[in-house]
Amino acid sequence: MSGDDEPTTDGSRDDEPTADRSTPDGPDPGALGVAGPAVERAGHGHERLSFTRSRLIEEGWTRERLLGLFVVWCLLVPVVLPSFQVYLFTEFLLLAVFATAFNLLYGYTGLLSFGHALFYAAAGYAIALTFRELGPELAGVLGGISPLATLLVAVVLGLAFTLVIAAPVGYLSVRLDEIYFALITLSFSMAFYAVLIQDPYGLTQGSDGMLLLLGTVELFGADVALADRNLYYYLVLAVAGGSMYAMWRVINSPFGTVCRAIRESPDRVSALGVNVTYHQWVMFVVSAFFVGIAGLFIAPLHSIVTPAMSFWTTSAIPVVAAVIGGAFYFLGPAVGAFVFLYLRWGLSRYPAFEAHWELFYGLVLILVLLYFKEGAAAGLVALGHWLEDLYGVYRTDGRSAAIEFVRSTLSEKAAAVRREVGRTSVRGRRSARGQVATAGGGSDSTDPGGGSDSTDPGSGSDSTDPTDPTDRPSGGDRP
Amino acid sequence: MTTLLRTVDLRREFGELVAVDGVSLDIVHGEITCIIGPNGAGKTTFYDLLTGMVEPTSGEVWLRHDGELQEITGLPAHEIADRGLARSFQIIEIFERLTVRQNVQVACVARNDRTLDLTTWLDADEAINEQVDEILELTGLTHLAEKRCSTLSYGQQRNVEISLALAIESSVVLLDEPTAGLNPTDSAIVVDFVNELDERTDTTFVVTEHDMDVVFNIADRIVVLHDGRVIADGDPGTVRADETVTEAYLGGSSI
Ligand SMILES: Nc1ncnc2c1ncn2[C@@H]1O[C@H](COP(=O)(O)OP(=O)(O)OP(=O)(O)O)[C@@H](O)[C@H]1O
Ligand SMILES: [Mg+2]
Repeated sequence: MSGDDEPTTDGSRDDEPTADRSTPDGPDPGALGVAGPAVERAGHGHERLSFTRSRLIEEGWTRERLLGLFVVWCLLVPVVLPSFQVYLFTEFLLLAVFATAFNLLYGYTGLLSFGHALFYAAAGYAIALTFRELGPELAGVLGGISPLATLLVAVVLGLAFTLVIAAPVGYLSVRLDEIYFALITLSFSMAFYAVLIQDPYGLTQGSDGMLLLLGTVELFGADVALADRNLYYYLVLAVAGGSMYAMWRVINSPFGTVCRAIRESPDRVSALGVNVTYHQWVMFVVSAFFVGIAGLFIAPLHSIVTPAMSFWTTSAIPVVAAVIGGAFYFLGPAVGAFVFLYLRWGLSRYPAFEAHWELFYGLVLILVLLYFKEGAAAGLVALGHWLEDLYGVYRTDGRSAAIEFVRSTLSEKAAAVRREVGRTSVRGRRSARGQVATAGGGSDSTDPGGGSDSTDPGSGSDSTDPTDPTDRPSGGDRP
Repeated sequence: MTTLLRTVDLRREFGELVAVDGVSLDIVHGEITCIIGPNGAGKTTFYDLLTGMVEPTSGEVWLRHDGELQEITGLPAHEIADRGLARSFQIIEIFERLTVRQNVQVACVARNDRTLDLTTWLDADEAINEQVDEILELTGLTHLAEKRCSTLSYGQQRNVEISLALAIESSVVLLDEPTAGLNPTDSAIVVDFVNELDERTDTTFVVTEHDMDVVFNIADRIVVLHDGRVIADGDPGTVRADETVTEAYLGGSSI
């Protein structure tokens, strides 16, 4: 195989894409992609790199510190940002959970679901229904704290409902491969959409959707509006933080590692005595569960649930986020969700752009797929390294060396991209299996991005076609 | 002499082609059986039939489990593996984007029935990582543990492939051309640890191999397949002297 001459010694480090794209592998999902331990890396001046790296760590730029800074930032959001921005950031946190939960199945198990909106909508409608049907009842019994009690009941019922749907849907879906899996999940979510539109027994109020107001709690004589923007933000922050941590644990558990292995080679995993479909099913349900959490808490934020929550354009959100952000990084989909949401917001401020904002998504997606095969997260990591290198050059060799470094790396990168574009256009589709066979014959496989396994987010421009951005995400989700 | 694995008149057709043609074999505890034969003889297909990856056209497969021979024909691959039949693949099938350690971790997690453990931090699980270290030590991969498999050389990947088969500690391990593409040094390492494991553990090995030096180095018994049929079966001395074998194999020249 190619790429075996990389002088890396630490697993988390050779994950990152370098300027040389001939290495046929994507980054490892376990990598957070922030400052790791000091290691040598292929490229310019190894000693200098490790110098920079250890230097930065000495100066305290560890992964923990960066995470800590982010947490502090999150806690300060309501203090420093205007009200609408708090709303937007709340939405971002929930979309990040949505996208990361989706990616448990996509990036970490190798199954591209195109129907995860189903669970998002199921949970959203469950909380809206609970408030409409049980809210008044509970108010009669509990008085002042009833909205809080209703919320708790809604969370429990909503997650239970999500699981009840996810178990059979997942059971049927994981039996199918690749594109059929995407299609059957899509069908289920669209069937649910149809049901919501149909307004069975007057339950869902058809295409109008249902209003959802959390109400006001009387606590110790004071009135507290649950939907108060800042209060609700902190609630969502806690929920999203907890969910992200739980998912991080899941992917680093024995189960999560087995699922990553399933992504790589299902046949091999079953030859080790593991029931592949069963584990895919369990991960499907786990993924749906966390999507349900996102759906539960987005509904009160929007104050309304509509059938659009289950429409395929909603299913496309996490797909786009994972592709933009990088499905092989744990935080990739969250980064993608950020780009997705804030790009849409940014465009919405310019009426001329807003009318054609789908077009801009198209451009962004094409850009990402061409230039950052592993997504924006990978791009950010690479950028971070580049800055680090630059800093190292500057510290040891001075300013003119640093300028020379910028010049040479940029032209190198441009050349790499040109090569890549050239290769992409001639490469065509090659099956992952064919690639393995080549490796078996002992010859080199230099196909970048690991062939075109349709579940391989690194190279699967074909697998993302359904996310065609010329389709408009539905109104209910737009701020 | 306990029979661990038995096939009865096992047959597999691919359209017109009969890849495995009425093979009846008993694999006996503690004996290293080498299956040899020219390209296309049906060795890999035979393994596929044993491990449930390919359905036989007719015939039966039996495996000793819980102290008695049980029929496993038609069982799904993972159940057969779970009952104690492991294999390595001729065309390397490892988890490329995972590290060597993670590869073996998956196998050890499977061995310990921990695959549904969602809460433990795997890298901190001492029981499993001790087993992983043991396997890596045995196959000489310790220094590569944190490397991603896609960055390894072909020979190192081959080693990971074998490590996976060994790590689930099954009663029978089928190795499909474990030394294919290896240089003599690496190939000798494989021979050494197969011999060592054969002596030290209760594992019974079946090995397909093209390299006759390796075969005569490890085999207690040699089975020769040709066009899907067993044309010779016996101890190395007998098989070496067998004329039908020499003919089938190298068109007359001796092996
Ligand atoms: N899935 C399949 N479909 C059609 N023919 C097949 C299939 N698998 C194997 N064959 C054929 O069956 C015959 C036996 O193949 P097999 O791979 O078992 O041989 P082998 O002894 O392992 O050869 P080698 O030494 O090259 O590995 C070959 O002629 C092969 O082409
Ligand atoms: Mg073969």
